[in-house]
Amino acid sequence: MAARSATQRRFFVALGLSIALFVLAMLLCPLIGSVTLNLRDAINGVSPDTEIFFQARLPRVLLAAIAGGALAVAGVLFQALLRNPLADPYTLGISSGASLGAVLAIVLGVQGLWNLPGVWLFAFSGAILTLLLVLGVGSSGGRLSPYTLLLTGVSINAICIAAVLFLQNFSDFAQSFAIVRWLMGGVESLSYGELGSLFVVVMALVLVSFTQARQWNLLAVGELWGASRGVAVQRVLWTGYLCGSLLTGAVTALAGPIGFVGLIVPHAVRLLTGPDHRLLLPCSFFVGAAFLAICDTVARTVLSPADIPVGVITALAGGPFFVLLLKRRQQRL
Amino acid sequence: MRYGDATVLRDISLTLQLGEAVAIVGPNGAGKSTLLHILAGLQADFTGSCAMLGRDVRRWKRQDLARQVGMIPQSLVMEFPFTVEQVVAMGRNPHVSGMFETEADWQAIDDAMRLADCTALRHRDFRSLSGGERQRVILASALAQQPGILLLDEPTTWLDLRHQVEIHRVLATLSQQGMLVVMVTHDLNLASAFANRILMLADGALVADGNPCNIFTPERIQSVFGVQSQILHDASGVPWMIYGR
Repeated sequence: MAARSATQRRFFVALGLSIALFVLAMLLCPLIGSVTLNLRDAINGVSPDTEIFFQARLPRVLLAAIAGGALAVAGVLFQALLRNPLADPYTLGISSGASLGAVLAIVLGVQGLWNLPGVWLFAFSGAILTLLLVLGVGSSGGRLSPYTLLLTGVSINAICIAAVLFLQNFSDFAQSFAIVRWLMGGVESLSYGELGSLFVVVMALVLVSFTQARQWNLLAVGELWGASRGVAVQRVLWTGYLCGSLLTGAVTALAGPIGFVGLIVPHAVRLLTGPDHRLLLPCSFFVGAAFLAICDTVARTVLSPADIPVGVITALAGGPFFVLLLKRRQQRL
Repeated sequence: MRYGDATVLRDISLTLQLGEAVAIVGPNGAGKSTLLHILAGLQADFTGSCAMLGRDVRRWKRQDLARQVGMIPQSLVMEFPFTVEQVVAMGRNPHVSGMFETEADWQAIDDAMRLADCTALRHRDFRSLSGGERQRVILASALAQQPGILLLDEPTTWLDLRHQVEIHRVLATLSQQGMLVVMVTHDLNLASAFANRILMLADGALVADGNPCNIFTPERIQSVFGVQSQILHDASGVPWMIYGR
């Protein structure tokens, strides 16, 4: 009994800590930037503080948070589904598909549609088409197999990247710069309406995956294991792949492929919480949101007024951390 | 039952009752595991029918089936650092309706760990355990499931002598209490001591079905396994086989 309540206490401590980290990041990140702000002036509508706070920084911090949370949750899902700790939201090639769409839009100079920029529309369509292609090739008779999916994802990744490089040959200097910039992944300021729609989509997908947290535990062990213990394996697998892919696609369309968030956040959180998805999923969401918001704040301040793509920061911060993690794991084995 | 072009099982017809202790024996590739998977409802791709409580196993809802049938796989490859407690708790999955286990679930988990002698391993990382310890944890997980039918695929392969004997005692007790226990095993002596019914498979066919005394004869062991043997009987009449003479 004592052991059990200790386990539960650890659950609540970890959840509390990640929410605290998230709240702290949300409070501090909008206040930090190349221009020092007076929060009271910003709230009282004194120009230019109010414009900088509400139109430049806050939307950007919010987008970073939504994107970070979504990518971290997608990372947890793909690691469990593919039973591979090295899987991330991009393993199935969804970001490469989105990139191909975005680059196509840039090279063709596609204008927007229904008030949405052409790059977004093309990137999201690219993500969805890739998803359909990978799931179509990777399933037979409606049944999904992790190994086929993994290999299909790797192949489609390679094809899309080749196509992106091919297209880049036909771009002028400005387009080429836009392409490189997009491929590095970055967070821009969106309108509150756009943010709201993204938030609703992301939260719906995140909540659906939370409801199956107990089943993810069994699937992370094995499909036969899950099936013999009452998991409707194929239904849960499809839900997982669709949730994870749509989360990745929606975020990548708006922010480009931001690397490492979906890989290191789940690992770092797992070190604290253990592999139980009922805790791992919500904690990863909050920590991922805080992590990307902080990385983006670094990206826009460290060389201010220059603005570094956030993907560079996550890779620089995440890469060494991940190598350390692997080294530790190696030592333990 | 076919895999691609190869027919794995053919013309098998049998009825199993609650309270029976059944051992499935036979040479490699005889179809033992396949038969077990069909019984567990994990192998849907076969011709014929396999019914539990009057309904085909392929038509049961997974969760309802898992409340009745527990299954212990031959092996388990673990990628994530689940603790022993978490692995055993997964056995409660078909019974838990909300997000978390209730007090009754934890009671079942504790009881199962005690029966399979793995309470002391509770907070260990499953991946750090020895083969025998893993097997006991997996058994505990199936016991936590509290099924009426327990299917085991070579459950004692990695166990030391003491734990082999102990696990068989646990399984025998469970079957006396009314559970149907079906075990695939290579150890004929163990099958003989544990089971009151032996199913002997060879090349996908059921070549013998009955109690150990009737099944284990030197002639049959010669024809099925291609091994010479001598059969002794202990005080309670259980046959024991000595091979190679």
